[in-house]
Amino acid sequence: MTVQISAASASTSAGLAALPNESAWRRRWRRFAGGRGLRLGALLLAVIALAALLAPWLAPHDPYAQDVAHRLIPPVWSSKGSWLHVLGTDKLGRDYLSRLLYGARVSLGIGLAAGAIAGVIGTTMGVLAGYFGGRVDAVISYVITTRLAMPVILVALAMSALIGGSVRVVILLLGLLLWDRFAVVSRSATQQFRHADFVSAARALGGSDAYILLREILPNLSSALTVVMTLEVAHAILLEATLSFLGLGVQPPTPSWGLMVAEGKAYMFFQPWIIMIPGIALAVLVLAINLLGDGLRDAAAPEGRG
Amino acid sequence: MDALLDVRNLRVELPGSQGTVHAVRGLDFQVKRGEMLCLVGESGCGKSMTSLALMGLLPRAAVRSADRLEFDGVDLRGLSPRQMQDLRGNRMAMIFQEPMTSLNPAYTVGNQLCEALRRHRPATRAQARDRAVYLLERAGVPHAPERLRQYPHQLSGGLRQRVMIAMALMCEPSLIIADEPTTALDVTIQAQILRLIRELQTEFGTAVVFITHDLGVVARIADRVAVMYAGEIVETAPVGQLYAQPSHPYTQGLLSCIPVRGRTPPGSRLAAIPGVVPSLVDGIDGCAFRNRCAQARAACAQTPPQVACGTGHIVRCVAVSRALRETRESTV
Repeated sequence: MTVQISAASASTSAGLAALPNESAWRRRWRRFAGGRGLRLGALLLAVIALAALLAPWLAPHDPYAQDVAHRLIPPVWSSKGSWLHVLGTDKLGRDYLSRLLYGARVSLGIGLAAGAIAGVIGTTMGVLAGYFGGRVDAVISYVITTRLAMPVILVALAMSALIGGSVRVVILLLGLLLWDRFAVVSRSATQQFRHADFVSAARALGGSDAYILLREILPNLSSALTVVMTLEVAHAILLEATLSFLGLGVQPPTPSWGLMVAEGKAYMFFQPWIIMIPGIALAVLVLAINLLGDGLRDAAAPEGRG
Repeated sequence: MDALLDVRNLRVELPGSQGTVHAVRGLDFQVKRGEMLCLVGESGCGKSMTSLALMGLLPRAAVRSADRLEFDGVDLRGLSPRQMQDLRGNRMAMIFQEPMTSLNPAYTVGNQLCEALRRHRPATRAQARDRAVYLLERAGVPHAPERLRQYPHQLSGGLRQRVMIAMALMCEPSLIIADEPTTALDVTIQAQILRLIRELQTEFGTAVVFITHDLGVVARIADRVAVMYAGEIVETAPVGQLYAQPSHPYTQGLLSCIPVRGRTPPGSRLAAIPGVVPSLVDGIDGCAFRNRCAQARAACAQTPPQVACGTGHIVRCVAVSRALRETRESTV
């Protein structure tokens, strides 16, 4: 807050000539780096994303290699832990840190891919409904209402039980289920912008419907859609964990955080760290994404610029 | 006669649940090249609907019809939406009332200006930028190159309207429709913008249809004036003629409502035309002004005749027509 105020007063006192000294990208970056929650979220997410990307190089062991002789070794901070397995081993003797790193790939990958699919579907539907209104809107609103009437988790469970769980199935299922919020948000926002003067102005300057949708309206939805995207990515990650926990999502031996919690639940009272470690990782990841989304909304809102 | 825009019997009808609103009821007018025509009238008299009808930007439900609608020799009635799109912003541009919201908040000023040119012309980015800077400077925007990088919210209302004017001029249109471009600005800025529009109009030889409800504005900038009432033009005249010799009772009423310094005593009630504008639902027979007119008579229930009472001075009124005939007969 104080940063913004002093920056604003500086530019007024320096007068008009000093106005454009700062490049647009620099300003964007300054805004981006402004919020504390945003910085924390971005940092956490960056760490997790890097860990996921670099898992093959970071992981000390093969995440699939079993070693039953060394099963259920506790993490390094417990009295019986060792530096050989920093986070210990699971019930089959697989290195828990390695599985956690590879699991991050699954969680993030599914979250982002499902979010992207849902985003494309939902935004297209919402923007079309909001822009054209009338019959188009009636049909799309009906589809949205139908979708909202379906309990996501039950449908996802039933479908994956029918088809059989795998990473690809989970991505598609979640992508095809989680578009509702994109559609609702982009529909109402488009309705707002459809009659905005700058849209009439664009039309008076010879813009086509496609041009107006893509170039005039969509950029103004970016901040709202960014927030929805982060919410839905977090939502997809949690749903993946839930499905995997119930045994209908990602299948063993693929490491998924939800699956790791499921595999550890038998040992909950004796080796609580087995479910705590992936549980905490999930919570941190979802928190990071939500912090990022909130911060991005504040930074990207066109009306908040300057 | 070199008419750029030739409109005959333009009608706009808006079907609604209460009945069809006849927003524009048979407009006839012409705009010559490089001429400034002012459409004056009170709110709801169909000024804006007329401008939208000319641009082909009416709401989807609205029905437009005309006996003639020619722009630069092209019949606008026969154009496909695609052809109309190529015309808009290119050969005919529009300036809107509300400068605070007519620019897209998501793009820089430069981006929007260049886009206006590049949509219709094969210009490079650099060429578009040069033209944008040139026009911004012509439109009186200081530090034009720096302004290009700013977002609309960083500009004041007056500056934004200057940007909108520059944007309308990007493709050198031969006609600009300005729909109350100064209404949202405060008075000092308003005067500057009016002067600017007048200057640029002479400089670029652009014809302008200037829509306003402000007779003060009309007196400053118009070449010709068309006074609208309830969806039709009741009086057309060159600007000097209109103020010197207003002939339609509505025009007379409007002009007498303007307080004059020195003549209107302080504290006195401002003059007003009694009554209200008739509803345009289901149309009107006869003269629309007759229920508010002091000179109304039985003949006003018929469609009033169009009377020429001077060069380019046309009035749509029974009373004027009678008066003219009587003077003519007495001189014979």
